[in-house]
Amino acid sequence: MTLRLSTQSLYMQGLNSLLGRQSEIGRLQQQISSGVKLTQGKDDPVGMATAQRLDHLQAALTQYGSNAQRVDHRLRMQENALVDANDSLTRARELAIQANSGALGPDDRKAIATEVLQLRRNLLDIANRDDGNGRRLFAGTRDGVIPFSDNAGSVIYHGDDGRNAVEVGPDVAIEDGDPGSAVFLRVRTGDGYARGSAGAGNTGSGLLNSAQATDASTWNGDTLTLRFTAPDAYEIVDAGGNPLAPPVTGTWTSGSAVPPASSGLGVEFRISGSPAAGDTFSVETAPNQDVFATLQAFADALLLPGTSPADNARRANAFGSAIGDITTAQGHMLSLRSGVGARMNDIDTADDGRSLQSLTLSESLASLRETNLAEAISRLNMQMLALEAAQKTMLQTQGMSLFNKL
Amino acid sequence: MPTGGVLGTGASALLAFQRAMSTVGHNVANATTPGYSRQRVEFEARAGQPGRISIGQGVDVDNLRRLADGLVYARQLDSAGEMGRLTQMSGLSSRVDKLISDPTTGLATSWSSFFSAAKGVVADPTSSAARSQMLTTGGQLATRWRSLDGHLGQLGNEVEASLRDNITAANQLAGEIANLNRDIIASGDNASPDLLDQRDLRVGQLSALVGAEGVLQDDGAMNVFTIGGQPMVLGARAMQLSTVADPYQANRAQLAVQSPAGPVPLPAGAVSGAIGGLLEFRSNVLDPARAELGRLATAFAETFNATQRGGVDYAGNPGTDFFTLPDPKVYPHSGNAAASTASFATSLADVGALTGNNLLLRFDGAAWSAARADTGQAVAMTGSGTGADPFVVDGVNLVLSGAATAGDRFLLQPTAAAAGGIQLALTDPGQIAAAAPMTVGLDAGNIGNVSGGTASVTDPALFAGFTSANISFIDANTYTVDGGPPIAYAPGDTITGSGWSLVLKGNPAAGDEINLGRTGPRSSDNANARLLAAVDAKAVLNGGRTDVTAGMSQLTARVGGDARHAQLNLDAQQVMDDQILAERESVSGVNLDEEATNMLRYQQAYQAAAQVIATADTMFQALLGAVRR
Repeated sequence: MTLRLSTQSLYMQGLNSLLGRQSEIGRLQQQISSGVKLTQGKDDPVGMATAQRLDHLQAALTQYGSNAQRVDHRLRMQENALVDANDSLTRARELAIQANSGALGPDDRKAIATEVLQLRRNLLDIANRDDGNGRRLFAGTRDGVIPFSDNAGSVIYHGDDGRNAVEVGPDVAIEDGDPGSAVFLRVRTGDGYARGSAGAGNTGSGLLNSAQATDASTWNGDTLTLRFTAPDAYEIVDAGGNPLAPPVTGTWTSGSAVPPASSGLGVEFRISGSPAAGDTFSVETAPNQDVFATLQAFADALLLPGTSPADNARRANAFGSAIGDITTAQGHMLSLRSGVGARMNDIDTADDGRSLQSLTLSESLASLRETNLAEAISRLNMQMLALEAAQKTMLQTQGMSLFNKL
Repeated sequence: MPTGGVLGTGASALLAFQRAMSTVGHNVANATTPGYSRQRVEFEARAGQPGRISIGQGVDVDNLRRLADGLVYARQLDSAGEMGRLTQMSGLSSRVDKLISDPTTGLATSWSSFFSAAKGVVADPTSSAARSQMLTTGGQLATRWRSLDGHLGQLGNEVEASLRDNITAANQLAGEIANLNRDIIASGDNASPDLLDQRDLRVGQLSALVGAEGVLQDDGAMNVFTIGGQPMVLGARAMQLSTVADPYQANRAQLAVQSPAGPVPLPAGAVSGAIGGLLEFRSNVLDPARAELGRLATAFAETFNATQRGGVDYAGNPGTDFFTLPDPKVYPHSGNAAASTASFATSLADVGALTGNNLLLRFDGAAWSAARADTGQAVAMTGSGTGADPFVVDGVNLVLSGAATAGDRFLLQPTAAAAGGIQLALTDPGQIAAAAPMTVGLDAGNIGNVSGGTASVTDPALFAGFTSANISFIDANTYTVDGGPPIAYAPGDTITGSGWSLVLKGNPAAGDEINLGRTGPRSSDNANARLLAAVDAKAVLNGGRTDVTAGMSQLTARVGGDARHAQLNLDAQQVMDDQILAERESVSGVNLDEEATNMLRYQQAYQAAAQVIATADTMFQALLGAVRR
């Protein structure tokens, strides 16, 4: 038996199918014009939740990007500062070598001293630079201070040792600078490991050519002093001036390496000239000295008065120390620069990682949320065709009443 | 054979077909009347006089039949109730979903902006622009939270208003049904089909509101019960629904039925239909969504505040709360003994233990117990309720004051009010505690390659007395703290002191000294800002397994899922409803073609009957003529 249809249900059926098609067409139209298919959680609850999380990640990536730019900027500023500082030190080293050549009169030395002091002021300016955004480059994590000030020839640091690490990608944090204390203050002297020096009260004209640790495994870093007991004999004493046990003594000729390796101390002095009895030469673990003090010491040495052989030897020994100290400071700046370079490299790597991740996120978001135009348009066409058919059918069935034929 | 017999037969036919024609007319007239069941006259042949040959004496209209199917009608009622319920569930859930998932009303956009701004402070901790941005976006986030909660609250108000409107409509329908029942009982067996249609229509409408089933009585009355068994109409008597205030929250309406003793609250599930849908939406979708929103707000604000308190602001002061948050709410039952003076002070104990479920606290005269308000399942509660040892239940501290009497009940809403009360507490961008509380200083003479360290506060109470500390390395493997006994050191070891700990970066050398101090004013340190900016990914919810960002997307998924579920159910029910309607129409609906056919049939029959009368007349005239001759 066929289902009996009432006129009412015939109309309702037609109407419902028209309404259904129309709402589908409206939905597709909206999807196409807005480009978004996922407008509400109920369309795809899990997809919506995922899209929200991805959006949050995407926002974080964008922020990491601008953080990276900021850190990169600071690191670039720091690199420039380090290059400039290194240039100053290079010039100072040239001057030290020039001074050490020994053929200079007091006026020449005075001129050099003026330039060295000028270099020191340059260095101080570099150390006080800011990053262009109002933050000092070398104040550590102290804000609102000028990090270095010159106080009667010695420099005082007002910053601290803090370092800020900044995230430039998910789980990638990069330090945005080095504190001034690490750059300018804690700089090793000598050859970076051991430093030799001539005694301040030396009366002879002994010249320290070199003092170095020849065997790091036997020298424990203690200060050792070579004391001349006679113009051609020496003994080695410890930091307190007491002879070692067993005592190390020997004879000396100008330019010879003493004490002999057989002494087992692991250090070696080369002294030329003619030292007097009682003169001392020491080797110690290279201490830290700020670069400003290094330059100041060099300038002070240049201005030392006197023309006696002992005065000349004292100056020459000071110049020798200056050359060593400045060279080590240059090495220090260089290694800081390579550290900065490595960090900028890390930023580039993080940039690449971020762009890749961001691309993947965008693709995932697009597939979750954005309308596939080709698909939506073809479905729209299909629905419009169906609507047209439904409208025609409706009209036709309406005309088909028996009452019309009576 | 008397000629009067033919005339009578013809006349009976004329009368019958006239009635049939007017029934066709009635059907055509009501072709579009809602609830109308088509009618049909039933003819019966009029038997002749008993005799050897008994010729029938015409036709009688035996009955005016109303074509309706009781089974289909029962299904129709059932479907109307479900449709009513699901329409409400689907429409309202979809609005909650829209509020939470739409970027302009939901939290996601503000959430991301705030944490982007926090990351901006990480990169530039002294920039007042970056700090202001963080404060502004923090204010926006709190506002968004409040307004989202406000929108949901408004939806709750709408539900209550709609509840009242629907109750009025249901009461009116019940009254009308009772009146129709009375008329139908009064007319006995001859009740007009149109009256029955009207009653069926109203019962259907009532079902859409409360989910009804009708039970026909012998006297013709229809008793109407809700799906939950609550009578709505008994014979000529109608019950009245009303609302009463929730015993815990007076501003919340509860469904009740009027009785001579006053309104009696109805349990959940007593009614279906639109009213049931509204109540179900409120308790199963809206309340959990608000509680969860509050739980997220609580977890976020508490974690962020704790992190902020662990840092030092630009003025060198310890960080203060970034957001303020209302405490969990406790409501006493309106029926608690008048002598009872018990009340609770609440505070948050543990974000990870928060569930957001409403809890009922009961006092049995000796001890307090807690149970979930929705399922009645007991929940473990520890402590004794004193200030020193508060009750702890689901992450909430409760301190009891006053004297309770046996039978006292309280409702605890741990998080429902949080989302509506979260506020930005800071006013000055400088108050953002971007810096760590300790500084790590390196002596200028250090020759080891220690470049710094990570210092953290392990015990804030002990740390309160901290001013400075000195760590001296006797050699690379031994150190002392503030001149104390030597302690062995290996690279990577954690150095600890009174309330603090330190992990060095790099390796120390003999003679190296590390100086710890308190962070002073104007620090550009960003260590705490980094922690603040990472709160979005800190797993604090559900016992430390879920971060708040994930909690948010879970809320979106849950609310979206609710809306989708309701929508799918509604779509399915719609298909069933259409099917049932088609079945009803196939039995009771008017088909105009059919009526046209019937009209033609009856018209022809009427004409034929008229001819019978004419023929009878001719026969009579013929007889008269024969006699006259």
